[in-house]
Amino acid sequence: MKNKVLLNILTYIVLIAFLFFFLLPVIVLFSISVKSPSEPITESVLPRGGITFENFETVLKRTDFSLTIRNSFIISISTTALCVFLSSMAAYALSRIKKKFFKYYSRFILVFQMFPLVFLLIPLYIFFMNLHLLDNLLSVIIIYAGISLPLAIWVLKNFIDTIPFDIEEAALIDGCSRFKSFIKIVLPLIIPGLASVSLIVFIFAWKEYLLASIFLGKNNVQTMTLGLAKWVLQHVVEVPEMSAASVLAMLPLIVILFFAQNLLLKGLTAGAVKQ
Amino acid sequence: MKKGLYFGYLMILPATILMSVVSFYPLLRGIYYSFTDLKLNKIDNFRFTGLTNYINMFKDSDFYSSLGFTFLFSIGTVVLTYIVGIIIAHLLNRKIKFMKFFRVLYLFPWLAPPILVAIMWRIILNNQYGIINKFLTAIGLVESYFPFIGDPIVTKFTVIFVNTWATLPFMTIILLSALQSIPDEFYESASIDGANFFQSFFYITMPSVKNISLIVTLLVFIWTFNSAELILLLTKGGPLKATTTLPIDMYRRAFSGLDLGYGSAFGVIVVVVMMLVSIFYLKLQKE
Repeated sequence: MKNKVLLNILTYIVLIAFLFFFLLPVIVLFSISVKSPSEPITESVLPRGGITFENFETVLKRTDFSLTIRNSFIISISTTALCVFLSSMAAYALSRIKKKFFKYYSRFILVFQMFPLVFLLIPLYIFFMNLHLLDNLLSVIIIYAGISLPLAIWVLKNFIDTIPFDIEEAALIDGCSRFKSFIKIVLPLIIPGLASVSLIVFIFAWKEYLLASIFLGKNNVQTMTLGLAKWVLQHVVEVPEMSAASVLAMLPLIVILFFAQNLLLKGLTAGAVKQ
Repeated sequence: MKKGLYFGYLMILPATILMSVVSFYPLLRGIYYSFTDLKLNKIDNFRFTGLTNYINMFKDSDFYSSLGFTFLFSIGTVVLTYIVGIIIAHLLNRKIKFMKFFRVLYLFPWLAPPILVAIMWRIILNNQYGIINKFLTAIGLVESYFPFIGDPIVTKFTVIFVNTWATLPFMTIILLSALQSIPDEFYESASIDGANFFQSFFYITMPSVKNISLIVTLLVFIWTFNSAELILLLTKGGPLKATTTLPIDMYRRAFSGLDLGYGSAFGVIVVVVMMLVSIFYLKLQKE
């Protein structure tokens, strides 16, 4: 019995060590962001001069950072809406229709997740440049949604597969149209799946930097990631300001983490662990 | 049934159109560009050049070092995340309190945008004010600082380390879910038979998660191989191209070097490698 207690204590120690390992960068960032900008950056973990929100003020009032956050929200929410709308329809068809074409389509779809974004970037850039659609939030929304579709469709299809057709059959026999059955019967039943997929897509769009950096040049369409990158790319990096901006950028994620953990976890595992 | 079929095609049509425009068509177009001399500053005026780009690429020593590092980076990430991931997953699976608390907080590195990850680790690993270097000098391990992001060879490992940090949550969560589906009875009967911690790990845990392990390691390998964002933001591919992967090389040649045709050829190689690796994996899975 002693062995078990020892093992448990060891387990906790290791787990806490890993917690520290995963959260160390966050802690450092937080601590720098609330220090006065004149204080040396890592003399001590706790701010010597007391906690100050000066850096946050600088970031919010004297830079365009809040605009970039607004743009990121617009892009992420729109991308999610578009992606969920299109993928749920496709997933429904792929799940319910038992023809060969649909079967191969489902199998094949994940192949699209295998291409490097950088590779697709070149033709996409030229394509959108010729259409004069660069520096446009809509272009980015469309591309993000398109990139997320394969995974979203696959996950939602798996969710819909778990809903027995019998439930719909009754309604269909009574004269209900297939589309109505999709909207009124199936969709409500896969709300957890829809929520999880929405979160994953939202987070993907929120995080993305590479495509945005190529497609969004003008100041008024910059996203949060581009805004953060501006600090990184400066010659003299203003670490306190950059830290404050980073903390602001993290806030939505922390909110998601605390209020939507279950959905997040479901979404992550839904695709891979399908038993 | 014909009406149902018509409906089905209609339902997949919008998604199919979008995916074709955003993934399929660019893929084909990119492959085509790899056979031309397209340049960023001469977009309307380019010629078909056949295999010239590929011939030059195979003569380019940078290509081979990028290719090599891409494999090192990907395999390193996969191996590290898997080993550490399965350990953490196993520990989390042991019916301890606060499992959910740990699991949620462990998600953070995955949520963080790569730009944020790069910022965070560059601050921590910084030569002058980085916390790690301060710690190392304080305990006397190094004299002035350890060049985590300065030295070509060290940086290679730094980059693998940071990428592992960012990928661990995903790996851990998937493996944890797989472990949670292993019936407790297996472990119980094993401990009745006298198996210790390590034995039950190797003879019960590992075989049960074989399938999911193959899938998730393939996934992580593909994502890592294709990725460019994190390294780009962390080291820009330097110092002196030490941490340049194929995608980064492609990105640089295309958008800094303006050579879109040549860059596309690099991209095609990445796609080819992905195909080969997937086929290899599928064969592995069948056994």
